[in-house]
Amino acid sequence: MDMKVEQSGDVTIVAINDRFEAATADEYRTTMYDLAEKGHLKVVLDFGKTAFIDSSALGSLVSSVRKFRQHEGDIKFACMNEQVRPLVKIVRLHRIFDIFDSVDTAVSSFS
Amino acid sequence: MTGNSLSLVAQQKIEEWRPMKALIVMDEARCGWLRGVIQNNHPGMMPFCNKPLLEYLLDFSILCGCEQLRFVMDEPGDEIEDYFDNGSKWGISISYASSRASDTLEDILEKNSTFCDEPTLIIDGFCFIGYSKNEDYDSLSDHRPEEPQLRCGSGQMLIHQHGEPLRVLHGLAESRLEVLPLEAIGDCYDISMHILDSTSGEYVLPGYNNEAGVFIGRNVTISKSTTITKPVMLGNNVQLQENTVIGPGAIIGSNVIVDTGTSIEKSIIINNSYVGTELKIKKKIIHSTVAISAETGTSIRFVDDHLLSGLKQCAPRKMPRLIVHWVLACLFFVSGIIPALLFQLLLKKRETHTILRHNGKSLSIASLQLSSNSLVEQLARIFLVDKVMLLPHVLSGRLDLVGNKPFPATPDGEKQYADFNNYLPGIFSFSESQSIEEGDFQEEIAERYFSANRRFWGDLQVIIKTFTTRW
Repeated sequence: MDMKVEQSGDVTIVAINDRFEAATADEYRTTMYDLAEKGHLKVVLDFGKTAFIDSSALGSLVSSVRKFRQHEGDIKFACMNEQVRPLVKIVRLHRIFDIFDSVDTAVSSFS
Repeated sequence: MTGNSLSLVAQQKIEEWRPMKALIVMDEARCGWLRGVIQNNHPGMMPFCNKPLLEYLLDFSILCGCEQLRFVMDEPGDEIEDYFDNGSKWGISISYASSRASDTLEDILEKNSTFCDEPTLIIDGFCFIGYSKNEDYDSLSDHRPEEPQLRCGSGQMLIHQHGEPLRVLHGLAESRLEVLPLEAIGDCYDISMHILDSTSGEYVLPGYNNEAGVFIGRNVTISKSTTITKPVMLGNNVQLQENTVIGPGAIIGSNVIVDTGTSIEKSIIINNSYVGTELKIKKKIIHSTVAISAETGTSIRFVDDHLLSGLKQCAPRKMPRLIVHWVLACLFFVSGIIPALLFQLLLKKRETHTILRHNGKSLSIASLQLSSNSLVEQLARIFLVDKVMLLPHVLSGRLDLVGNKPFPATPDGEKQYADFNNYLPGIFSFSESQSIEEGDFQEEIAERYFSANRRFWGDLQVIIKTFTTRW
């Protein structure tokens, strides 16, 4: 999966630029685990170029935010495109995640 | 500076503030009360004279000069996106965003900062905007402290300009513009009746309106013996049977049948309702099986379908899919019934519980509760004995072969049902095929995802995966 990770101060921006599905969810979980281990507990997921998302990926998003919040971190969503937004709405993930329409405001919301 | 220069500066200032975008924010805390009264619809789609509330707000935004609009809700409804789509029908660009229940208006503006980068009209809360299509709202954003603020107990109108504090708007002199609260069903009734009686000319209303006080939709069938007294409004696909008396003050929605001899006066019949014979309906709101008094707000649910019933279609059950499910169910039943009966005799673990069908009605089923305690139970699980025992329900059409995990017929289950689009209970469920633990949060995600992405081949995969998982 094409996933770009960059730092903006103490916030990590993870851009998912590909299909986010069962086959690629493992890579996501590994990345999030590594970030948590390194103490990077403020994460913004950029879905601007995400082509597809399935139920396994949605489940891994929920499990990762649970772990981050247990350690007083958080994961926020940004730039939900029309491939992702309807599914997030259907499975009611908007009840759990803060969703921003730009990465910059998602990053600044952590402060 | 000359007078002309001053007016140019003032004009420029007005144009800087003229909203190009509109943000309509509707939170469940303020509109959720309506779900307890009129179920199965998002409160924003509550019809006022057969036009959804949100469409009035959209029309008003267009009158103010907005070219883009965004709906922001913490409990968004599919029917809203289905109805408004991308806004091309109204010549405006519509987008959608979700918020969390705990978000303040400032949080919502922050989350939609890219959208709100220009002067933005904000309609916040659950309220009706009284306006006129014949008035000019170009100067709405001007500061007029001498006029009353456009706010009420359940909503307000504001202007947002980047870098400036949020400002509640003020009314216009000699204008109809007002913000009306929607805090009880009586408010909805009063506003609808007021529009029908007095102010229908101020709004764009649906229906053919060749005569003042009469609005008639498409495909309306009126018996020769029907008496109609205006003002009256009929939606699309309405049937008025013999000797019905409609009006004065009758608002009948779309897909409504009013049966023989019934009279409807000063009442609202909401979409998809059947009204039985020889009834006298006065000052009531009727929705499906529920009759609500417009004066007291008391509601009564009728259990006799011959009096009141709903005509709304439940989640669509496609015929080819149903046929394939039925054939597969027959094959499973024929091959598995004898072993299943033998196992049932050995185990004697039948339990009866009640689940919700796709139409919300209860269904009692007797099923085998199998764990992995004994070899016999393990074998019964492997041979899907618990599924075989439920196949008669599939053959009779009460359940699907592959569908959602059934909700129990309990208050919690009914809440889940009301919140779940396209619920079709089946004996093979998606979450079970994925080996998701019962009660895990992943179960709900998987079930909702499956409902939204149901495919024929996906159904077969669910059956095969359940087999292989159990083996």
